[in-house]
Amino acid sequence: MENNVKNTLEIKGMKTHFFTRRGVVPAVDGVDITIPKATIVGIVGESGCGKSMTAMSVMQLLQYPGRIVEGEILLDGENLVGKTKKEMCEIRGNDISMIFQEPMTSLNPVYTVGKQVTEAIMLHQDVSKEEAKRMTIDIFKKVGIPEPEKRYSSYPHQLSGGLRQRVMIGMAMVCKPKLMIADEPTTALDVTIEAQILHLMRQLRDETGTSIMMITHNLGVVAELCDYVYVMYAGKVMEAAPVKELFKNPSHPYTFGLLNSIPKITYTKDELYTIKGMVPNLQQLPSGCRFCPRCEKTMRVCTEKMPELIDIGGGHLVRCCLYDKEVVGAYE
Amino acid sequence: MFKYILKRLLICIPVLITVVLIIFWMLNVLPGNPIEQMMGEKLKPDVVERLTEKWGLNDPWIVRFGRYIRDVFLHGDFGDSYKKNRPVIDLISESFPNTVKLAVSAALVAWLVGIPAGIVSAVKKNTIFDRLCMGFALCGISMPVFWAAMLLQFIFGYKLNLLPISGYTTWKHMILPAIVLGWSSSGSIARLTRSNLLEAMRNDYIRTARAKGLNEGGVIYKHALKNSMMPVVTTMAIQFAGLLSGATITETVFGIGGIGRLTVNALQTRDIPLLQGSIIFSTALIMIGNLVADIMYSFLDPRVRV
Repeated sequence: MENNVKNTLEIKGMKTHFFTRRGVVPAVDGVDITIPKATIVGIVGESGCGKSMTAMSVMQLLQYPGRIVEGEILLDGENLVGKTKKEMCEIRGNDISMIFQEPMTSLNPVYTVGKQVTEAIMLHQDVSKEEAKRMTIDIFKKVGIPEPEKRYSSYPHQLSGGLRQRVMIGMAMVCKPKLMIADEPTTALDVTIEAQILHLMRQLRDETGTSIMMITHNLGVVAELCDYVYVMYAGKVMEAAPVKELFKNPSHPYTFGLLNSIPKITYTKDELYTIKGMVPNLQQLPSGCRFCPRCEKTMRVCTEKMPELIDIGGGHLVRCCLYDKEVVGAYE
Repeated sequence: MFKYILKRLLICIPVLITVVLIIFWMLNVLPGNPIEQMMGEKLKPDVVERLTEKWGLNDPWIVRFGRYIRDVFLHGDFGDSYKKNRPVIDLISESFPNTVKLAVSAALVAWLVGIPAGIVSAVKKNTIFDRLCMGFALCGISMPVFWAAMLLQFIFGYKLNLLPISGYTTWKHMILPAIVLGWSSSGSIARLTRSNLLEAMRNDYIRTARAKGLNEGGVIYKHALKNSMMPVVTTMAIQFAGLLSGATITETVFGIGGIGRLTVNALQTRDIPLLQGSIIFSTALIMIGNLVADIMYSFLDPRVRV
């Protein structure tokens, strides 16, 4: 069956809600994301748009009071929603792995980095300690850690941020997962290291065929690394397109704003473009389109109707009334 | 490492001298002299004079201090007890085994109860188990030791007639004091374990451990616990050193001849050499306890390795 599935991950209509004392917070509100085999898919958005929660939902590592209330998460055609804790433990780190934003704090300070990677191997594979150690040193070599034998017995505090993130990537890749989720893996690193890490991730994808879900707020990273990109806003996907198409032809006013707020070397005006306003409170969402209060092209219909994702050709999907034939027809 | 320990031990010497200086000064300020305390009403002037001369009590206290420091640090001579007329060293080494027995058994109770109770209440946060464990811990911390001792003596010694009330000869005698003393220490250990474990569970590396596919038990025991034990181990070592230097109240209530009672008796009778000897002994123990805590800390946390 697995061979017939061409997508590593398919998220279908997933809703992740947090049930707090002050009401339900719909952090992820009906998201569809598809990650084909051996593809790097970016998920972009501002803080609080639900991109990290999407990742944590896939990992099933949501903290109380968060819960997936609806939808399916298909990994190679197999639904992860409703798996028991034990089944998820076998999947995490083996079929899906994850790296995080903070390489400084994401490794346990009291164990050597080698031991922490070995632990991941021993959890999922039936190998001896020596074999696991050899595999760890191999993966260290592969992720470009100099002197891997020596680094095996280093503690996290003895390594730089870039090296630690390489260790994290090594730990994530050592069991050859189907999918690696990277939650802003380069945000805490400086730009030269960022470029190296992105290069490494692409190289690993090419070598192993692992799909990558790249979560970031940095469109530069998306342009550099991803094949396909989803733009999220307030818990919903607003636009989805192949990377080149999105940068050439940004169609949602939000994406447009995001792209415009990147400083460019050719830009001569003094002030940088910003999208006015703030991400809405998820408990008091505006009626109609969620982006409407901040949108420059808002129409009357926008406050009444939440548009569906509309296919505008070339694998490009947009959730905006501007592209709704019915709406546009009525105006003309 | 060796250099570090040596340095720490050498620092102990000036600290000890300062402690002795303070004791000397305080005993000088306190009313009453050892001879009056010993003889009571039947003071004979010539006896007083002879003893004062013999013990050198006519000299100013600073001179006596100098003499004492010289004897202790150069000759290892802590002097003789005024009251018991025997070397202070002998008296301390006679009492110490009882104190060690009491301290070890109490510490075992404190650790074996305190740490698991802390773990349970952290893992089952805000449940009935948490409340029970923390309630138990709070009782341990807030109940006066003498009261808890008498309560247990009443229940187990008098009502149920299971355990001896006083004395320190058989293993049965050790049970109640160990529980009483261990309970009060276990309270703070349990609370400390709980709060540190909860804090450790909020760290990013816990998320990494979960993302690796470790189950919740593995996450807690392999990753959170070791990180959360550092402050607990420090407290345990210092508490243990404190127990070794004598638990006066417990020793008194249960009639155990340990260091604590020795010290208090010495104070009551103005037995200056004995008092100084036992205080130096306790101070040294506490300082060694601190040193051991620091060394253990460096084994637990590679970041502070010396």
